[in-house]
Formats: sequence, structure tokens, C-alpha cells
Amino acid sequence: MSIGLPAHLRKESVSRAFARTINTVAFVCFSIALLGVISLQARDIGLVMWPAALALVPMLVTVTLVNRYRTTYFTVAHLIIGAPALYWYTLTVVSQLSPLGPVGGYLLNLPVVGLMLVGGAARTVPWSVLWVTLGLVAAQGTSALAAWQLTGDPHWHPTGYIVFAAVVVVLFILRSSQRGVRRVQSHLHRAARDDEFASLRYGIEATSAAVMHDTVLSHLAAIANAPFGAMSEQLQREIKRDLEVLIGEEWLSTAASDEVDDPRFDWQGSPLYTAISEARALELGVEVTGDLAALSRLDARGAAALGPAVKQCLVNVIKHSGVMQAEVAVFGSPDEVSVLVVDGGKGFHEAETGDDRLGLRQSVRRRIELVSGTVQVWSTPGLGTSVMIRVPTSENQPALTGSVSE
Amino acid sequence: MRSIVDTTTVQQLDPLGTLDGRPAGIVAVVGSLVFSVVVTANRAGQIEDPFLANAALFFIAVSAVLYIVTTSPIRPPFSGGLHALIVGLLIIAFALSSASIGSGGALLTDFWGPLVIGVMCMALAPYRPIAELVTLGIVASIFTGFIGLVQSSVADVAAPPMIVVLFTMTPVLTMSLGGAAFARSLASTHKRWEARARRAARRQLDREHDSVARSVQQDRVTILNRDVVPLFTELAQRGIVSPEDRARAAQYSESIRSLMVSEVNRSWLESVVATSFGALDDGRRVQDPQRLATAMTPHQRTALRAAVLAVASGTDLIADTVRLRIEKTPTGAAITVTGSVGSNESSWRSTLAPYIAVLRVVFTGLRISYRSPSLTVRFTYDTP
Repeated sequence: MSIGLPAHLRKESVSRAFARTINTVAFVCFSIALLGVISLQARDIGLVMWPAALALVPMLVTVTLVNRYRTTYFTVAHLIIGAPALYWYTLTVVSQLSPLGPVGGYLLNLPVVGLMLVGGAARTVPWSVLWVTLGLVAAQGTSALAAWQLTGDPHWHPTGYIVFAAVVVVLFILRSSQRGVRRVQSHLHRAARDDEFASLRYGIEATSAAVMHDTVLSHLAAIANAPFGAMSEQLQREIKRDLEVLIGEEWLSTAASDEVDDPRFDWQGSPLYTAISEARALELGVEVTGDLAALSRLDARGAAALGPAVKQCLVNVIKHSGVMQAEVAVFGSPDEVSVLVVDGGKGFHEAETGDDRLGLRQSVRRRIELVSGTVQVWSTPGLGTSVMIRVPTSENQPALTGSVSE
Repeated sequence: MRSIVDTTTVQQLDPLGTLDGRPAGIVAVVGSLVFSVVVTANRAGQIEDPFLANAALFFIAVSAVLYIVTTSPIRPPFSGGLHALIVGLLIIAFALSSASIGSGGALLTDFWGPLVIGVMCMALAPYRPIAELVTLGIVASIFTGFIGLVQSSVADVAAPPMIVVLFTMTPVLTMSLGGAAFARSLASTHKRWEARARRAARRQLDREHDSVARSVQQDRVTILNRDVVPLFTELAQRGIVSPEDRARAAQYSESIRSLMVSEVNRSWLESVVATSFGALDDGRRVQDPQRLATAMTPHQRTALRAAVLAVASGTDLIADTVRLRIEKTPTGAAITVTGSVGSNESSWRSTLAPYIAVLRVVFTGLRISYRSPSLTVRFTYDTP
């Protein structure tokens, strides 16, 4: 997944964020004005400030609606309702606080700035400027009209013009600042896309390599070590099956499919049962213990990875342990299914195995890691080897695209 | 998903957008400093204690410098401690400025102090989580309100205490909450877009799955068709193994094994470097003996992939000298990228800054050291 917004969405998202910003500022201005007039009313019950407090309520409501629904309808409604409310507010404040002084000036400035800061339906900078300008005209006009009616002085509010200028400057800065890193952003999106594609290809290649290891390489080794003369029937059958598998595409689609699991678990139809049967056919004694029903909690991908991985562990027992007996124990929890493959053979130091040993790395570890599982190996020379394979259950299986790639 | 919006910053979600908006923040913060100096100079006659007034300007200057330095893309992520420190310095500056006026103040004398704090709160909005922005904004408002109240009692300002408190709080509260709303809106937009993009990418990958599978299968079959398939076909028909068959089987097995071993040993990073540098790749640019590149997250892979491509296709670093080394650390892994710079310092800094900004966000502990002409970038990440 890429980092950051694509360039074509950034413009609108910044406009939206800016609209939310000035709506919030407007809401806070109305709220502070409300607190101010209530405090004055509480301080001096001789004053009649409560109509001003009432006038602020519709403005608080409409600015909340504008912030929630960024449509032209609510923006115009905010201005149409806000302008007379501000007129009423100014009449109250100017009539009650005479002379106005810095306190009155401050209390008048707050809703003037609040009404001007109408984020509204603007999707672009020119529209934002237009709405703020309309807000400025409505706020300054109605406030000046009310003040002029009472005192003959319109009481223009320079703070409103300063905030207006600041908003316009910030809008243009935001607009110009969205151009600098577009090229880099597109590189990031391309890199994200490439990474997703590489992860997909990696997963399929790993499946393919694991299949190749279990089929072609395994049987080439069998041929290289076979006695001269007639081939065993089993090897002939396996070679024929290799040819079918390699030419067909089913192994790829089966391994990648994410079908819904059959609720009626069929142990004898599971890939793990097939793997153990094949190992037994190679004359390995395999004792199976534990909670076989837990295997039903694996999804198709998990089950398809577990079977061949266990098969490779059993093949390793035949090839390297020096014994022909192994135990496969299955454990289940709601989060994962664990399979322990144990032999009492000669064991090994993992660090001493050659870099070219593919079986454990390719056919077991890599295959299990592809389905977000883990593999742990404990081996002591002379005391045998245990391989623990853990595969997450279908509920805990992360998305394929998020898998780690190599 | 809600917790992501609550705990992450806009910078983490959109490092390039934040980098793009940084000049606007710097202009606002430096503008505040200039404004403070001008206002202080203009009301020199009202100041009773010039030392305190100058100390206030000094604190504002320090906070401006801290902002510019710590929000740089080549610096470590902006921490909550720094956020509190910068806002705290400005509150102290406001307190000193108020004290410098002594008993000569009026309601409008000191209005610039809270304004500077508010501008800083807004400029810092992209760098910290929304909850922290709101909390610190409210705390700063309370402090400024208290300072205004103390000042009004000393100066005997002709206004009710509640109005004085509200007046001093207004710029801080409006701008800090406005900044938080800006950050929240961008974070939600990003979250929605990411969810949509993830679904679209999943659908696209599902559509591509079959063609990629066919291509992989074709690659395998091409290799096998040459030698293995003829051998298997002959053996399947004949049913008899000859000494020559055994020798051929051993030879094919060995060549396929060595091919698979080299494929298994090649990490995604080596593939990306090889593809990006093309003919210039010597196969030894990436040293990752413990195969730690595998442990990176998709975001980390994306950022590093884009940066490698930018370095390989650009001229700021001399392509032959670029090396990447990944080593195990006690907590994860560390990547060290080294190379010789082939352009002037301002050129490579401006070219690489966006990529470094992204790397800084998705990796941890990013450090840059430059000793002409050698550039080293080191960063770390967690491994399972």
C-alpha cells in the first residue's frame, strides 16, 4: 500500500480540511462569545445580555450543520440565518455596553469573525475565497447596520478584515504548496504497485519452486540413485504424474485459491493425510497423534502448504536421520494449528547444514512462511530432530498482498 | 481503524504532503517572531522592564528555531516532548512579556502573545496526534488565560476577569482546535482513501493472478522442456534406467538445484537494486548476509524501493559508489546506505529530501552523515 494521498485527491482533501478548520474556528468563536455574554449577564443582572446569548444559538447550530454537510444549501442557510442573528446580537451588545470599549469591541468581533469563516461547500481555492468574502460582507454589513442604527457609528471591525486577509493568504499558500512533491508521490505510488505485484509473483514463484522441489528434483535424485535396469512401478507412476503436473496449471491455481472450507472435515481427504500416506509408501513408519479435527480450521491455502511441508520433513527423516520411524503430532488452538514432526535419528547442527540444502528452506520454511506460518527446528546430534510447523487458522490468516516478500 | 486516526500523525500518513506544507509553517512561525519584535518595539514606552521583554523575544526566537530544525525531513520524528517544550517556551515568553509591562497594561496591550502561541499550535498540527493537539491546545489556553488574569489584576485592566480570561484564551483555543480539525480531516480522508485503494489493489491482483501464474509456469516449463521433460518422457515410455540416464538425471538435478538456490538467496531488495541500476549493477551492492530485508513491512519496502529507484536514476549520487548493508541489531535490523555525492549539497539535499522524509516516517532512527563527498544514511526497523 502506498504512502500518502495521490496528487489528484490532495487538492480536494486540503480544501476540505481547510473548510473544517475555519468551521471549527468559527464554532469556537461563537462558543467563546456565548460564554462572554453569559458571564456579563451573570456578573450584572441589570444588563439584558440574554438576547445576545440566544442570537448565538442559531449560529452555533448552522455552523455545525455546515461542518457536517458541506453543501451549498447549508452554507447559504448559515449566512441567511447567521446575518439576522448577528444583527440581533450586535443590537443587544451595543445597546447594553455603552460606551462599547475594548470589552464590547471584543464581544462584537467574535461572531463577526465566526460568521465570516464559513468553510462551506468550497472544493477549490477560488470558491473558498468567494464564500469567505460573502461571509465577510454578511457579517460586517449586518453588524455595522445594527451599530449605526443605535449609535450612528457603524463600528467597523478591523479584526474581521485582518482575519479575512490572513485566511486568503493561507488559502493561496496551501494551494501553491501542493505542487512541489507530485513527482515523488507518483514514484511512491508506482513503487507500491510494483511491490504488490512483486509480492504476488513471489508467492506464485515460491509455490512453483516448492512443487518443483517436491516433484522434479526429488525424482531426478531417485533416478540418479536407481539401480540399472527396470524402474520401480512407483517411480514410473510418479514420473508420469510429474509430467502431468508440470505441463498443467492446476498446481498454481490450487495453491493460490482461497475457497471456503468444507465444514465436514475429511481427514483422509486432507493434504496432510496424503503426505503421510506417501511417506508410508516410502516405507517410513509414521505414527499420527493429537487433535486431527483441528486441521479443519485451516483454510485451503494453509492446508495446501502444510501437507507438502510435512511430507518434506518426513522425506528428510528417510534421507538424513538414519531411522525409518517418525511421529506426527497435531495440536490445535483457535489461532493456529501446530504440527510436530519428531524422529529419534542422528540429528544435526542446523548451522552445519550446507547453503545448498533446499529441502528445509524451500519446501518447508518458505512454503509455510507464505501462509504466514512459522517453522522451528530443534535437533541434537545423536538424539533426533523435532520440527514444529505452525499455521494460522483461517480466521487469523492475513491478506495475501500484505505478505512478506523475498 | 479509528485508533489509527487517533494515534498517528498527518506526517506519518502523508509525509510528502507535510513536507510540502512545511514552508507555510516556517513563514507563519518566522512571521510571528517578526510581528513580536515589531509590536515590542512599538510599545517600548509602555514597557517597565526591558530585560523581561527581551527575554520574551528570546524565548520566541528559540521556539521558532526549534520548529524549523526539528520539523526538517532529515531530523528524527517530532516528539510529544518537543511539542510541549515549544509551546511551553511560548507560554513562558507570554508570561515574561506580560510581566515586562507591569502595571501599565490594558486589555489589548498584550494580544500578540496568545496569537503567537496559537500560530505555533496550528503550525505543529501535522506533526502530532490529534488527541495530543487538542489536549495541549486546551492546556495552553488555560495557562494563557491565567497569565492574562494575573496581568489584569496587576495592571487593573478595566474588564471583568472572565472576559480577560476569554480574551487571552481566544487565539490559542481557536487556532489549536482549528489545527486539530485540519489534521483530523486529512487523517480521515487518508484512511478512507487507503481502505478504497486496498480493496481496488486486491481486486487488481486477483485479476492479475492467473496471468502471472501462467508466466511463472511458462518460465519453469521453458527450463524443464529443454532437458528434464525429454528425459522423463523417455523413461516413462522405456521403463528402464540406463547408466546414461542416471548421469543425465544427476546433472539436471544439480543445475536446477543451483538455479533454485540462487533464486532463494536473492532478496526482493537485491532484485530491486539490480533492476534499478540495470547495467551498472555489479551484484554486490546489497550486503544482507542474514536475509533481514525479508522482515520489512510493505510500507518500508515501498519507501525503500522508491528511494533506490530515485538514487539509481538520478545524478546526485555516483551510481558506482552506492552500497546498502543490512545488519542485525539487538532490537531488529539497521540499514546503512553509503555513496559518494556527485552534485552540490543543496542539489542532493533538495532531490533526496522527499524520499528521506518518507523513509524517516516508515523506518526508525534515521540518521544522515555527510562528509564531502561521502553520504551515509542509516535507519532501523523491527524484525520478528
